[in-house]
Amino acid sequence: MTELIFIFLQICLLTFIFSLNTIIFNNRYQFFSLFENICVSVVLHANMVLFLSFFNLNLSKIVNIYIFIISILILFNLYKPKKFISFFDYKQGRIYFLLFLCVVIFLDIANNASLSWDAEKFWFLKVLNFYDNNPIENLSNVANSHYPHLGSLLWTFFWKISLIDYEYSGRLFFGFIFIISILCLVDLLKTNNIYKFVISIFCIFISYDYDIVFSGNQEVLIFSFLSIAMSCFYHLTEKKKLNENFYLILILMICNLLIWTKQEGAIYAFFLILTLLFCFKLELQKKIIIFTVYFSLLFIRLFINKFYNFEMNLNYGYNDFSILSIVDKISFIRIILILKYFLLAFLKNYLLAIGFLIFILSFIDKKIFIKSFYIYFFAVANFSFIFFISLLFDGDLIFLLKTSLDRLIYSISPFIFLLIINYINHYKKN
Amino acid sequence: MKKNSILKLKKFVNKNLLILIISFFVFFIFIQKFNLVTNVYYIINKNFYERLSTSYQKKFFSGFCKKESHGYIIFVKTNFEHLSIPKIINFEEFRRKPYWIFFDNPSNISSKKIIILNYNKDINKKKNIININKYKILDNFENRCLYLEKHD
Repeated sequence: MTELIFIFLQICLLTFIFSLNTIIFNNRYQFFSLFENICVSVVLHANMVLFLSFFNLNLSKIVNIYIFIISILILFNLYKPKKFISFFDYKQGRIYFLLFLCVVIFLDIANNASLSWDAEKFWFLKVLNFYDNNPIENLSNVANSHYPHLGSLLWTFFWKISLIDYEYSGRLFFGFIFIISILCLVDLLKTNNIYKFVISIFCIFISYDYDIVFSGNQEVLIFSFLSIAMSCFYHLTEKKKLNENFYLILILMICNLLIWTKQEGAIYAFFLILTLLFCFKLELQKKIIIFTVYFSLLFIRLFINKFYNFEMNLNYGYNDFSILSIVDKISFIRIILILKYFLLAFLKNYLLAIGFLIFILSFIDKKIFIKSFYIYFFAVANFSFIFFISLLFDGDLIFLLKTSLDRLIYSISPFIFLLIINYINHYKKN
Repeated sequence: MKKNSILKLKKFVNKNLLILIISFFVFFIFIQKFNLVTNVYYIINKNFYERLSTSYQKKFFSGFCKKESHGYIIFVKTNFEHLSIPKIINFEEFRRKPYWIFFDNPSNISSKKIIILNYNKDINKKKNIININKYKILDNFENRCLYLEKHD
């Protein structure tokens, strides 16, 4: 019973921390919805914790600094109580809906509790490193030090500040960010709250799989960050270009988080940047800044890896990049094999099937196709990337396709939510 | 005042009847899919390690006393006192050893106590992996998983 109460307290703690309006200092941004505000806070806080870890601080110090900053935020929020809308935004019932979803998913995580094969091999050792109060410098003594550490850091961070003593308490944060990112996307729908409630549940229903999402794999973070980025894209396409700079900065911060979540995160971030540069009407100066910031973030990643003596190699299975070897790997049989597993993934993943259906439907109305062009651009770039990394793999291709393809496709699938939202909103308007 | 709000509610229900019925069903399917009631029951009645052990029995790479045998290691962790992490020997040599279950520094592994997983007499005879006679058996699960302590 105590554990159950602590889980409820953890839900309240997470909702409270991230409801603190982090942009309270600027009057322009008070119109954000509850879910959007929480998403912005999550991105800001995750960047802050990551940034603190670069200074080789141990977790206790990071937690202390974090608590200090949260205390300042609380003071400012109390000072401007009208803007402290989020946590007490009870009139619309959204907070109850968020709490309800958290209860359902947190209890599932608490009961299942097991870690996936990958989580045990790649991520949990990093978690233990941070939990033992070792700074990131010590990651060079942990296996696979070249793997980014953000997911493990956040996992440990929320384990440490939780009342629950077990490791799954850190993973409850993964559940929280998963829910809030989907709610933030569904909130873009121009319908009433009941429809949003049904669609949110439907979206969570089809994108939830304990083994892929919550068993310690980092795909859930990529999925959630991309979901938030998709909602930023949506705002950037709106005719009233309110807060353009704000959303651009948010996307860049998400790119930073992606770079530090998984190896392939840097590529997903690159595709986000490419989509921004090619599909959105931005001033040239802004485009140059975005491009420069992205490469600076990549440079920082390489610099930190070098500075702390982490391994600098690519993933297992990519050893030979000579032209001869690449040409050798591009064979008809391998292409057919990959396409076969892509097809299987399409049949297994309901989300992809829905996305494909909307893709076909959008050909009927050219307007919606043009309107959603940036989503297709992002999707094609990602699918091509997954196709080529599979094609260039040196090891056992069938094993890779069987064990990784589902997860790779899952992590990029938030674009389908945006596709659905675009489609519904388009016909709602007309 | 009360009548007014009841009228408002009636109007709202009449207007959104279909979607309310759908949301009602979606709500229950959702709770069913996520086993909400079962989860609450297990969290109240089973401790974390029992749930963890049960959960690993469904994993393709583990079980109670097979493959990586998370279940047996959890059993040893919860039923015996540990000053250091016992050494794990898995007779299926390609399997990983989940030392993390002890939530302790991996440098704290001691070979004074040993957990043997997937024990096979013939392999032991052939490869001479361990001389069991040198150890006191603290626990034996179906002669496959053993917890041993070195004689003083």
